[in-house]
Amino acid sequence: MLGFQAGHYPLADGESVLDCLLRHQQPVPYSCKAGLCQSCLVQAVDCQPPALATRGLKATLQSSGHAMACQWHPDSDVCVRLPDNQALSVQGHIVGLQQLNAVVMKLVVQADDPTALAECHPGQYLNLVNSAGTIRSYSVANDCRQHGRAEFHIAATAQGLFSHWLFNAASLGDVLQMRGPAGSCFYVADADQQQPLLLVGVGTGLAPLYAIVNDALAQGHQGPILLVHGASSTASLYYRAELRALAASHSKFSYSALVRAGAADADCQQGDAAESALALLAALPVAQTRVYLCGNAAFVHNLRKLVFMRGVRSANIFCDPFVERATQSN
Amino acid sequence: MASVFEAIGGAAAVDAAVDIFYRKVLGDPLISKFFDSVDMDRQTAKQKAFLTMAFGGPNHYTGQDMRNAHKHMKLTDVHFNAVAGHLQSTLAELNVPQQHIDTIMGIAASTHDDVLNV
Ligand SMILES: Cc1cc2nc3c(=O)[nH]c(=O)nc-3n(C[C@H](O)[C@H](O)[C@H](O)COP(=O)(O)OP(=O)(O)OC[C@H]3O[C@@H](n4cnc5c(N)ncnc54)[C@H](O)[C@@H]3O)c2cc1C
Ligand code: HEM
Repeated sequence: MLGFQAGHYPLADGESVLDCLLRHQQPVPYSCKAGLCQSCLVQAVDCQPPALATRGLKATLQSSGHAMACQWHPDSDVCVRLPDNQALSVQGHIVGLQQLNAVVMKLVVQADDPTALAECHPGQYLNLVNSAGTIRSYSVANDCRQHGRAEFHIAATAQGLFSHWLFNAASLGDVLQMRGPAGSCFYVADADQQQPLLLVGVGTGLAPLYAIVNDALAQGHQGPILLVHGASSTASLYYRAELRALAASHSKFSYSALVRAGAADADCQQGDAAESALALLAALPVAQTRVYLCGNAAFVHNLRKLVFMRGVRSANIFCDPFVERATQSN
Repeated sequence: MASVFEAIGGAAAVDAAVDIFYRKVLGDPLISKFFDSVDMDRQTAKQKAFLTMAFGGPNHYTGQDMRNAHKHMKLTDVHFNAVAGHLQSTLAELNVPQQHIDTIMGIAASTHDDVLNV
């Protein structure tokens, strides 16, 4: 039996806390259902969530009994409640809304408390909650630790709840709650600074990579830094001028864009981003190379396997798959 | 008497073996589908649990746990032998002495009935 708020719901054999609550039409937010996005956080009441359901959560969340409902398959009676939004999140206001191309919006949020994001490594993600209560994960594209001002790149998604709100209804001054940070896809300076870094992203997968590249350069990374950005066409690329300027001023950094269709030029070719990344990898010492993969979940999953099979160490592969909302009939 | 786990280097041996073993398993079309889940970090953790157990290291798995972990996969001897083969060739690649390989393969074989739920 699953206790939730005032009610009690029978758990089916092997069912997750989240699925049980959704089956009983209870209002629990969720998105990826894969133990990644952390949208479906619940707080345990007088019971201990299993380790799998707390994996990747901040220590403070773990010690206060928080867990991901989608990863919790109880084998005895448990009781949970919705977490206290106030205690969990940081409030901010929208201070920037700028379309980077036809399908990508740059969103800038200033935390009301400028120190509130001091622990957010560039490239980690935050869960944004809008006034309608929709929660989605977005990667931070800049270093927001000092000023609490976080930049996001958000792709328009057909019939997407959050992105539709952002492109059509959001305006400067709107309040957003931010939960997090989370994720382990960021630059670590205590590793070997001579290692080559190969960063590959498709679409708005560029957001965390842009943050990671800038962070690596700021922390004085010594080895080569190779960025590959894939998109469907030149019209859906963005930040080309910024990346070219960065490459011009840092000899160890190089940038190339791959598009499936459209004209080629000096740093943009027609082709497949994964193939291009594997070609670059072939010229690097694979056992030393650190690889960052971000964006579309299927793309990340595939390329992760390919770079691993080519000899990149699993400990040197950092991924940020943008897992979409799982389909569910409600 | 020191266990084979300690003799071959303990947790460090598991770390050295995990990538090699996982690469073999993922590259084997007979069994790769079982290990190809979206969450590769979790998979790596499971491979480590597997190797630690096979090396006779500290673990809390009971025979019943092994049954539960594998029963939904409907595995047969073909799968079991494939995994055992990759384990053996991983150990050979790491130059583990034959006497230890024999012990480890013995531990793996002892889980046969639980893994296959027979
Ligand atoms: C760790 C992480 C980091 C991320 N970082 C970024 C980032 O930096 N930038 C970025 O753009 N995105 C990022 N994402 C993806 C982001 O969280 C959202 O998934 C994405 O923006 C879509 O959200 P949405 O609300 O617009 O669409 P949703 O409402 O979630 O819909 C997603 C898709 O599912 C379909 N769908 C929804 N409900 C149903 C239903 N009931 N039945 C059938 N189909 C349905 C919709 O048509 C749509 O195509 C990240 C995701 C994760 C997990
Ligand atoms: C040779 C004997 C084997 C041993 C000792 C063994 C051991 C283990 C262990 C310890 C776990 C972790 C369980 C957990 O923590 O939940 C595990 C999980 C797993 N095993 Fe095995 N295993 C064996 C054979 C196999 C075979 C033959 C296959 C399939 C071809 C297989 C596929 C899996 C998979 C897919 C998981 C992960 C399940 C999950 O993700 O939850 N195993 N195994």
